[in-house]
Amino acid sequence: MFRSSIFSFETLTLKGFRPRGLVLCILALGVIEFGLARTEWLWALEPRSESGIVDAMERHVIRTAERPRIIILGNSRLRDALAPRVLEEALGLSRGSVLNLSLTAGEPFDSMVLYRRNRDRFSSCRLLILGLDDWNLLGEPAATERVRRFATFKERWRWFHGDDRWSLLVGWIWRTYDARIPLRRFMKFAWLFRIAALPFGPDGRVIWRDEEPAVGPLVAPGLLARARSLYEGRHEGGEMARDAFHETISMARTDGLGILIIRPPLRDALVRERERLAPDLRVKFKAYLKKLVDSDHGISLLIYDGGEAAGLGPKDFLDYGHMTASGASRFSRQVALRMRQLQVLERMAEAR
Amino acid sequence: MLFNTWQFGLFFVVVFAIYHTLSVRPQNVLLLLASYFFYGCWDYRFLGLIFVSTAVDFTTSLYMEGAGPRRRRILLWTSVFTNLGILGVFKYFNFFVDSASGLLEGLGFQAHLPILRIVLPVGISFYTFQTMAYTIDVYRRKLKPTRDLLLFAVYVSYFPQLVAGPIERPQHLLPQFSAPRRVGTAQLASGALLVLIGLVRKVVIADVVAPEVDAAFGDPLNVTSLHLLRAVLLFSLQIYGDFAGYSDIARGISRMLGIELMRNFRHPYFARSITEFWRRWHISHSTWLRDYLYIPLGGNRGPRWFVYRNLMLTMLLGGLWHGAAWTFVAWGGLHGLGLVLHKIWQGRRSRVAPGPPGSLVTGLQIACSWAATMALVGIAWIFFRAPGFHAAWQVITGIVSLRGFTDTSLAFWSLPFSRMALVLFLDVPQFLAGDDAAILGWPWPVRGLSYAGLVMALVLLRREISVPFIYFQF
Repeated sequence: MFRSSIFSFETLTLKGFRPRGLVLCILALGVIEFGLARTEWLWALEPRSESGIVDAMERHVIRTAERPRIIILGNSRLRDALAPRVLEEALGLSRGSVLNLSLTAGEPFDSMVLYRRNRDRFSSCRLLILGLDDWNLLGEPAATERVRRFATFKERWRWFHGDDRWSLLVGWIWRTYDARIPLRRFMKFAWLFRIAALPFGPDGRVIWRDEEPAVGPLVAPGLLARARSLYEGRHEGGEMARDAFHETISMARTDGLGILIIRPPLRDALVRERERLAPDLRVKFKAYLKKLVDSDHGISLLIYDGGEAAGLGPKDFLDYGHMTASGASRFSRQVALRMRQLQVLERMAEAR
Repeated sequence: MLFNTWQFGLFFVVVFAIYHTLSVRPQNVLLLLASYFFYGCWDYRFLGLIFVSTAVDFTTSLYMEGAGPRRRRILLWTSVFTNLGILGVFKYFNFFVDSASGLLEGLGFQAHLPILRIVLPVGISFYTFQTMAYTIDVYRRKLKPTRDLLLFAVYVSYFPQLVAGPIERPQHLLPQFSAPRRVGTAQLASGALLVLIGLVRKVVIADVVAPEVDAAFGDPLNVTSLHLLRAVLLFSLQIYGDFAGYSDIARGISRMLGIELMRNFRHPYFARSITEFWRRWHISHSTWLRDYLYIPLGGNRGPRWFVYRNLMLTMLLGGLWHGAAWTFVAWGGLHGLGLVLHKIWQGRRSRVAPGPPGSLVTGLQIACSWAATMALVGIAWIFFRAPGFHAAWQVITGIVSLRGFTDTSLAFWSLPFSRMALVLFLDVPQFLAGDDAAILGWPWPVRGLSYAGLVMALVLLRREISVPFIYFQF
């Protein structure tokens, strides 16, 4: 054995090392890793889940669309705000031309992923409507289920720091660790009771809530709590959101699509609360968007603050910022009108 | 760096890899540097306290050799006062000031005593007790002082047990640092298994039940009696999982480095008396109190009331060690009272013939003893966990008032029962085999699937947010 005053390899001896139990353990974990965690099937198991909704959208919306012209990517507010059938009628487009692919808790990263995964199916599209809320530009990113499923190694390294970064890097290597939430669902046999198809409303929106909720004056404490959760204590950050947003725009522009950025209106009471909690945010947000538009003339903006400015009242909202069917119908017609005024359609026709 | 983080995992892999290429002395250098790095990650400013403690205790012990009795006593008190002084300033200063202010105000005086805005250094209670054990044993001539500063520094700062024990004895640890280490497959396997078990205790049991405990103890007036009872049960699981988990991980990683740390827990919730409980719970701490406080006070010698006084004093101070709050003192006091009552009971019971072994009577006796012990331990935990006496009282009266005792939903009980089942799965084999790595003795297919099951439990049954170890605050 090599020996010196510093080095010695005599401490550790692996004589008689017969790790049968360990080998079986590794095999069992390997079965879970390659038989479950690394399969698309596990992540797509429950369409109502954070990751499953992506597959559900692809299966039930994207792959069934013949020649989509307009795709909409954003969060639940845009999902509820823009009704595809209403937009199609107002813009004189055929049924199925508008696809609203906005996701519950959708972040710019999720929009980027959806576009990236289905880019080849969007070849007939001419316009991308992207949703962006001001709170997307605040705070540190969260290691959500969709991030764990779709983020590349580089994206995990670039956008995350501290414990989250460590956790995500380990999850990139050992997918079982990343897949713990879908694995829990699998173990609870939720997949036996999953819904067969997405619940569409007659206006083409995906409806996750009861169609007729109790609409009325919003309970103030709930709204204030929501505003605080969105804005309080979150002042910087948003690098991941900005990078993902730019990446989506870049891919779409390369593919020849026009871009329309929409921020749907919020309930007026929340707008007032935002002014109290983050007064400089409106200025920052508009400056950021202006910079985007100035850099690329293929980008248009439709940015709304409160519902009043958009002609919407409290009864058009379910809560702080999600619209009812009537609100969506009115808002969609308004968006269509503004699109005509901005000559977005004309630009689409020229590109066609 | 918490033990249950990926950063610590990487840190240990690097230390382990380098360690096993070195000879003894360079291994100690590596352990020292790794330990200072580990502690510095918490707060590098408090490394100075470890340096001071190391320097004072090394020097005073060295000078004790060959010194006369008076000089030895002076050197001992220098060491004790330095260590207790550090502890007193950083841990107890504000507590004593607040208590004094409260007392003065109660007597009608206005008191504006100064308080220190000071952060409690992690592990201070542990390493100060460990270094005091060294100087006291040198003073008692149970141990010759080491002349090797490196060896002593490693003894003080050894990272697996630096921040939450076990509180080691110099006779047990120092010789291991000076001797060549040998780590065979058995130590590697049992060490890794201990780490896995410790992580399961911490991550799957302690961290998961913590929010339920916090919710109930945070608002005891607005939850039912059953909720409060459940919270006490869950806290019993939490503190055991947290602390025993840490100790298991510490022992496991140390075993993989060829250093054996003492066992700190021996299935305390199997105890059938409060005396037995303290032979099974935080053993390093209870034996420290016995050897350096209880016995010097007089121990079991003398009249009965004297012994009871020694027990009470030891447990009251033992409670205070846990935290700068009167609730911890009350917790210690309750256990002291339990120990006293048990001593009285033992005296009376010796006049009564025990039931035949294996009989129903004996079984009932054991069951009642166990139940009474757990009841006392559970009541005492209320004081340990509650933020103050008022909250503790609210919890106790909330349970006793029987307001809302009918929740029978599966979801309500699934958490405590599933975690109790896990504790039993981990503890019963160890208890029966008398070995904390009992799983290694199982047939290899069962062993392999158990390892995989424990790993998957860590992945699937964890809480997403990590919670610091409870005993770090001590």
